[in-house]
Amino acid sequence: MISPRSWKRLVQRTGRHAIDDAVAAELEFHLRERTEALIREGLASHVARTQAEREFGDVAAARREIAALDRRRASRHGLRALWDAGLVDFHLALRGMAREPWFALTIVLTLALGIGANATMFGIVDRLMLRPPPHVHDDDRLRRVAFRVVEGGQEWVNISHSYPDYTALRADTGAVADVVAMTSRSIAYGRGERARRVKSLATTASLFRTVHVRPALGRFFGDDEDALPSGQPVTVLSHYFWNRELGGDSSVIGQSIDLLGRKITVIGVAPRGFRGLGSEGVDVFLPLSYLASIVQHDIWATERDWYWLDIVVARRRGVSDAALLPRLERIYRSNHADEGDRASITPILASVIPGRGPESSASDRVSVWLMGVAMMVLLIAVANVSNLLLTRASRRRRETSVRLALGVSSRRLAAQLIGESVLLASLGAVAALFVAVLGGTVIRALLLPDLAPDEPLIDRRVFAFAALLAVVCGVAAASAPVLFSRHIDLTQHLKLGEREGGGRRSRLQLGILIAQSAMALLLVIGATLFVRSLRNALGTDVGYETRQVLVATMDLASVGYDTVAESRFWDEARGRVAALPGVQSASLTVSAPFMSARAIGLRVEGLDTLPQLTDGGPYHNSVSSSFFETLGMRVIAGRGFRQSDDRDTPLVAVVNETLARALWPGASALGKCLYAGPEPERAPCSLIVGVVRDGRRFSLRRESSAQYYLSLDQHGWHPLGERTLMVRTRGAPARLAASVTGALQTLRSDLPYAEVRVMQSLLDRQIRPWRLGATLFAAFGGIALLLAAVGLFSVVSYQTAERTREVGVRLALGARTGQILSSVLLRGLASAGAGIVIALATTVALGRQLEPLLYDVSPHDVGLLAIATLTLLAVASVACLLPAIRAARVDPITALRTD
Amino acid sequence: VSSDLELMQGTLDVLVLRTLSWGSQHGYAVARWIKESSGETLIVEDRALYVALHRLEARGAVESEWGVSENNRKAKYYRLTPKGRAALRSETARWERYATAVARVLRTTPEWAS
Repeated sequence: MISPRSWKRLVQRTGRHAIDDAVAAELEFHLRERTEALIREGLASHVARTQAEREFGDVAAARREIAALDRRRASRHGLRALWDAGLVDFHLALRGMAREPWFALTIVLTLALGIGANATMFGIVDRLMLRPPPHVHDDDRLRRVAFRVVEGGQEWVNISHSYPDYTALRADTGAVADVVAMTSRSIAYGRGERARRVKSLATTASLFRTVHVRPALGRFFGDDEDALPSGQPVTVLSHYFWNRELGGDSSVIGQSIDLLGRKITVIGVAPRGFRGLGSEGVDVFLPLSYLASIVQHDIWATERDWYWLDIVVARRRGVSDAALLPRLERIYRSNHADEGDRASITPILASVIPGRGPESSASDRVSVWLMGVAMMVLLIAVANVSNLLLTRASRRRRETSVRLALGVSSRRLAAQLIGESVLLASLGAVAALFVAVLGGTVIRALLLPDLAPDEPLIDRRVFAFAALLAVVCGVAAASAPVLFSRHIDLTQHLKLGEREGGGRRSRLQLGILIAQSAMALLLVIGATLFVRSLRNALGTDVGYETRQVLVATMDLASVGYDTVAESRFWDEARGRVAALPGVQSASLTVSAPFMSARAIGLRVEGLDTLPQLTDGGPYHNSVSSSFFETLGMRVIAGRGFRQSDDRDTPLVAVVNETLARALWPGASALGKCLYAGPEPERAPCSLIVGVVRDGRRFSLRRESSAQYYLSLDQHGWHPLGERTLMVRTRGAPARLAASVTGALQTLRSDLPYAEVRVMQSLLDRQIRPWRLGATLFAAFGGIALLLAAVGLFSVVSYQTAERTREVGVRLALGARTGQILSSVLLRGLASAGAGIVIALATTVALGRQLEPLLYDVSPHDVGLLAIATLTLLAVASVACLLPAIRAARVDPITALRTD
Repeated sequence: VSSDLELMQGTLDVLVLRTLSWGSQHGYAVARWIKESSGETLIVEDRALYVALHRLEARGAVESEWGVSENNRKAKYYRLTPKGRAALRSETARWERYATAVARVLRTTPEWAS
């Protein structure tokens, strides 16, 4: 770096004063010559000077004018010189790289990994947390509406709202804000065998005018097409869907496509990338009231307790959040009076940027941690490069001394070092973009499958970020060697041998090594914690054998099936699927674990009121025979449902452990009566014939919800027609998914798509944070270990090479190779040891912050910390061992002969 | 006054370049030589001469160096660069054309006046 003092010198040399002085001297010479000539011609000396000045013209003005000319020339000249020097440095840097290609390659690859990791994470974090969705420009005006509810000591955030909430909000705030209500839903595109699932965003027409977006083709729908009761069958296609499915054909406007089993008219195409206000991709936009009138129960527009809409308000100019909040609270309280009495409710106006809202997920939070982790990888990489440059600076210090002695300024030397380092970092950044594109693709496919598909993770912003990092890294990496070379003592180094000296350098290097191993260990610890979390999450016994079961659903209501038709279809479908080869059993259920849960009125024999249950409930489910066998739920008392339980036999019920314990603590539940139905007073007795083990309702985390099951075969009806088909397979279930889908979709000609998934995948979203954390922490931890090892190896190699003579002397004096080996090894490992201490202390200090993101793992788990520490020690030992062996093999004679 | 100077400018430049074409000189010597060689006809203000020298230097037509004068004083010496030599050639040619043209006009009597 250029010090203030040398700046001052530089300015002085080319600066104002120097030029003024030179101009004055030149003119003074002229005046004196002229004065003397005039005296020689006979003028008196005091008149002569005045005469000379008169002939000259205005001397002061001339000085100013000429100095201004010269200054302009000097500044042009300065820039030119700077540019020339830059070119020379560039050439020198290229020559240096060509001379030591391995050195350059190591640096470029190191920085490629470091910058690549950061570019990848920046792409993700930028997408999740920094950037509003495409085409949403004034996102600061938009606010997602949420309510924080505190009730009975529990606190949660309501981000979904009812349609009456929307209408009330629109009526009340119309003057100060625009209101948008929307919901996304997977719907059927096409019918029968070819039916597929597409993502729809059902929205009020206000969305389009709120974000000021223009259609790429045709038009958006207006308020009249979204009017109650049932809107108009029109759709706006996303640009991506239009290209993918319709080949970007612009004659599609005015034609109809098959959505929801109906003909729906295409009126427009949204601009490229537009996906409303969420982070997930959208295929088609539909008027909210149209979609709701098809897929929702007909009271959707009036029911206050159905929370299914996202609401976003767009404040009009000059309106503050504070002005809106009281209105929100009033509306919520009047719409939900019963809840409002019991609970404390605070409205929240949150950012529309997905990762910043109140619903920011664990994945978002893990991503932020990972950004920090990537930064650490970069720090390690920069430290490595710095170390490598330092080693080389030390190797070249005689050359440097010679150049200094020849008069090359130390400023020029520093500029050269920085220039070379920035050049290497830029090459690293180019390579890093390949790393980032690759990493981004992998991460998106494996870990963030819901992100909109037509928006690249790696874009211009990531490029700019990588370029910025390259410059910062280049300068940072060069600062250590620059610092070192400033302190080269000319005479000493010219006199000394190549291998002596370098105390300042080794202190710097030691510091870098310690920091590196500390950071590497921190990342390895993080990796072990997340890998263990992931293993725990995957290994969680949720009460079902989720890896053996396929879950099949079809949205029959959306294509016009009523309750009776729906349940008839499902009975038939069950028989068809059960007969497929490879299927062990198939069972129908009204509610499927991790997908839905329901409660209806319940009365229990011998109890006046139901006991308060911590996890809510008791939850109701109606299932067909062999449900427990299909899901692998163990019956711990009595029996499950059988095929013999039919309409002609007495009604039976099965309860889970939690309900049995809650209702009849210490006694058997078998033989007791449950009366379940919309009107429990009139419901018939269902006799409890079995108790099954608990299974999770929604969450992977421990929860024990009370649950009872009635037999679908006995009742033959249910107020809801919706069913989920659970299929247990003999082999791996994924292999049968296609044939189950085929069997379902071909059963009738008018069917929508069937969604068939392995039951375990229902948990994917919940497991994702740990998968994300484990994968990336492991990747980054691995890179960090590798880089730290390379750093340690190169420094120890260099140090031992430097000490060749000393080793030679010791060997000549009778030291054994073992002693040499262990002295080198210990010296190298000392830095790792110091790093370990720092890392463990940091873990103890910061562990609590990380704990909420882990799954059943303490950040202070001694076993895991030991594993991580040993891993680092092992890697460090290998890195030191190679140079140590080389040192021990030194031939004393050769060593003593070197200079 | 300023318009007079501007008219002078191009002329002065050629004269300076011409003076320097015999070798390196300091500003005072250039001023003397122009005055003397024109038979004291051309009265050039010294200030304008120095401005011209520095402007020519900024344009790269001349370059300067500090040296020691005949009577042992520190003086700034100017000499032509190759660029300056080329400029002198083209400017001289232009001047001769100009002067010939003006002279022709001045010597010729139009038909309508005879």
